[in-house]
Amino acid sequence: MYSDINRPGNKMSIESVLEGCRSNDRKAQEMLYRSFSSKMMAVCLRYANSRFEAEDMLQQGFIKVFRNIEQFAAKGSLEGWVRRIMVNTAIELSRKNINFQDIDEVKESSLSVSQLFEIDGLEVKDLLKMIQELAPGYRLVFNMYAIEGFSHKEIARALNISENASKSQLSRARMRLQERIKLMEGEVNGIRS
Amino acid sequence: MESDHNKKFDQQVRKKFEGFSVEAPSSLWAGIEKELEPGKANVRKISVLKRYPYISVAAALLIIGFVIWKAMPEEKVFLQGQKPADESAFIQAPEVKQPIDDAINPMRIESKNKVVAEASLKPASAALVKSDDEEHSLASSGRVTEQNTEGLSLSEPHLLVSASIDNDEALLSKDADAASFLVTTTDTGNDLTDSIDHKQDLVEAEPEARQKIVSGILNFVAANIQIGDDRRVQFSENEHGIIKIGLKR
Repeated sequence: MYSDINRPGNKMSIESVLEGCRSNDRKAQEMLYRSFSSKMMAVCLRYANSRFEAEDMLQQGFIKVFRNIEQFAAKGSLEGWVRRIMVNTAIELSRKNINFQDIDEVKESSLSVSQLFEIDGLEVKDLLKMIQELAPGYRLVFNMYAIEGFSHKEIARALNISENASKSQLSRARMRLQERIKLMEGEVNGIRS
Repeated sequence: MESDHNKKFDQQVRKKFEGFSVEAPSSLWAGIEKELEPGKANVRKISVLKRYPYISVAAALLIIGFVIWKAMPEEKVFLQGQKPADESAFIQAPEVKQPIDDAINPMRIESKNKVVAEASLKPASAALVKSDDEEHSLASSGRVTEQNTEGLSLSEPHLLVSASIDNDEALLSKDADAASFLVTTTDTGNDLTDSIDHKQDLVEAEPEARQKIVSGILNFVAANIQIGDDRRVQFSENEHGIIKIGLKR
């Protein structure tokens, strides 16, 4: 069984795993995969609308990681680099399924939430399910902006849409999510009372 | 400007997913491993090579089209505005290709016709004689034809060939029709010269039209050949009548 290369005291260091991956050593590649697959699976699940689609993203992402391992500069974080490849792969695959032609641009202020919204009591799995159930365009822009930290300008360039369209998608995504969260909280409170 | 509430909401969502992980199915590594196998790269190369058969098919079609194109003028010139050709007409076809000087001089045509008739009639007569009359051999059939053609005029070999192939009267009359047509087309004098000039004009005028027909046929076939990535083979002709092959998205 392979253990996490990030764990202290692990016999196989990140350097040796990287060296192995560069020489196409299957054991080293599997070690790297086992170390990051769970975290990357969580990333892919946010972009996908199903587990099946997320697995496809994960597989394609890791193939890119191993084929481009030479490009990794050992100065930065390996996990950060793997995650960037995974996010880019997820964006690339997601945008293929989205038709941004029909996006209507609305003023963000008209969709802005007036009250503070707390989601502390919400289970992460429930939140993930809600994100997965968003329309593909909403889901993609929300992931890119709210979680990955892309700007609207970067999103507009990556998805070949206008910045206003990106803002519109984000606002609608937030609205939908908050509606769902309220609905769930109402159901939970109803059961409690 | 982003509202504080929205920022707060995004922050909470981001925080929720921090450190979140989901176990990936164990079978996924097998799929990745399979993709990374050195053989997979070879498979990809092969898949690229798979495109070549299509290109070779297209090239074969191009060659066939070219051959048809090269073959067409003789028939077209020969049959222009005339009766449909039969076996005798095809056998006689090379005779009309003689240069104008030869065509004007019937004696020279006759001398060349003998050579053409000998060469072209042997296989046809051999095959048909064998089926019609078991007693005649290939050699004897050829020899008889050769002997008979020596003393005959330009039109006679057709009748002779037909007679040696089959004695059926109906067929003979058809051959005679074709032969009479050939006599007309190979007549000496001004008519012949005009006719040949007209034929030359046709030969010069038709290549572009023929190119379009040939490239049209090739494009029809190529439309069903998808190279990959939505690319298709396309044939086009330029003003010089040269067919070009290319890829179209």
